[in-house]
Amino acid sequence: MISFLTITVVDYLMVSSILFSIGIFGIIVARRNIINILMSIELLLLSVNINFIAFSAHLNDLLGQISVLFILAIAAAEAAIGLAILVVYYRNKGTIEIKDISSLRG
Amino acid sequence: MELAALAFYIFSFSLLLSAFFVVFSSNPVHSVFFLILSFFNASGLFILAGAEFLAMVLVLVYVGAVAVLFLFVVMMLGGSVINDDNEMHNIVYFFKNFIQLCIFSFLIFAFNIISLYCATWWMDISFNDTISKIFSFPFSWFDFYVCQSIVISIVCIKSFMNKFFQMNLYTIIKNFLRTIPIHIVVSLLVCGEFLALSFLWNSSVIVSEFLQEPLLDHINNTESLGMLIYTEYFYMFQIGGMILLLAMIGAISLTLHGKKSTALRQSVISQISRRKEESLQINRIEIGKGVDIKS
Repeated sequence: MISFLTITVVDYLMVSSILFSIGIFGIIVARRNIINILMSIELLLLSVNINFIAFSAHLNDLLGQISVLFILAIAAAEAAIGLAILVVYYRNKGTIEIKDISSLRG
Repeated sequence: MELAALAFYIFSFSLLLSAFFVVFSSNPVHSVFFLILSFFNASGLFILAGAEFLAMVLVLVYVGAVAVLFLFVVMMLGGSVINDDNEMHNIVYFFKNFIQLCIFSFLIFAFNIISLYCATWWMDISFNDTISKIFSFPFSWFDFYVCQSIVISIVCIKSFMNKFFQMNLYTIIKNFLRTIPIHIVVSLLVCGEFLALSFLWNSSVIVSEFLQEPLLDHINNTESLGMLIYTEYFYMFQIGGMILLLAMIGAISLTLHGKKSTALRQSVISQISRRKEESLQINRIEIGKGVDIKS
């Protein structure tokens, strides 16, 4: 059998690491406004979840899936709070561009 | 087995492609839709790994709630987010910090090459199956990964050449020197992860003795998750619900804070100062006749 037709945990790790680097890239380099950064954070959490699921299937352990369930709940709370802060910030300052947000720089 | 592998490659390729477009799309609405697409593909990967309940939860929670919330906020902030200026039509708009992008991607590419040589050297001295699987065939993950970094490098070279003639050398060097430590740290982080992946994580044999909750054969995924969540992880479940309640209260109080004039609120004084004569009316109704209510 050709070896790349069997899917092991390493393939899932490859996918999740590439997804993680795309998210890091979106946060560090290609940032434009806060909404893009929040979506990149969602991508990071998704890659972490893929890692958990892959190891849960690899090790026959259900604890990873329970962790993913709680990570999903916390990520939903984080997205809600982050978007609420974003709306309030836009109402106060009138912009959400990263280059305009420099109040803490002094 | 081949069908599962094919499905895995399709799901993961479209997941990575849509994640790429989430980051690089010029329109935030398109970014949100690509985010939804990537969540769908991730739920497909979850199903392939045997986590059906979490795939369903991912589609319900993320596509149904979080992505719609993102879309709502993008639409509400509309004008300033979407129609920014004519610079949006430029494909390299996102690479404003082009120096940072160049350093980042070139470091990643260089470490890719280094990890390639290290991994092939390591493969020569230990004939591990999975390592040889990674580097085995023309279509393998490693080739995809090298292609990704080459594409990133080409894009950043293009943006570099576009912007280079508009800046003097002093500004470029100053930006470079100002931002070099964070680039080195982040590149080392990412490349360390890739190296650790290239040198195969492998679980030992005794790991099966340390399993927390082994999977059972005779009940399905949802049932076993429910049996665990409502018994052993009950307190974590309650804490999760409490955190969601906190998030709800926080979001509502944050967004209601600024507009006291338009929000509908309870008037406590007018409630407790009601009297019986103003609010209560006693009618004697004859049988067979209705009542005209005078407001």
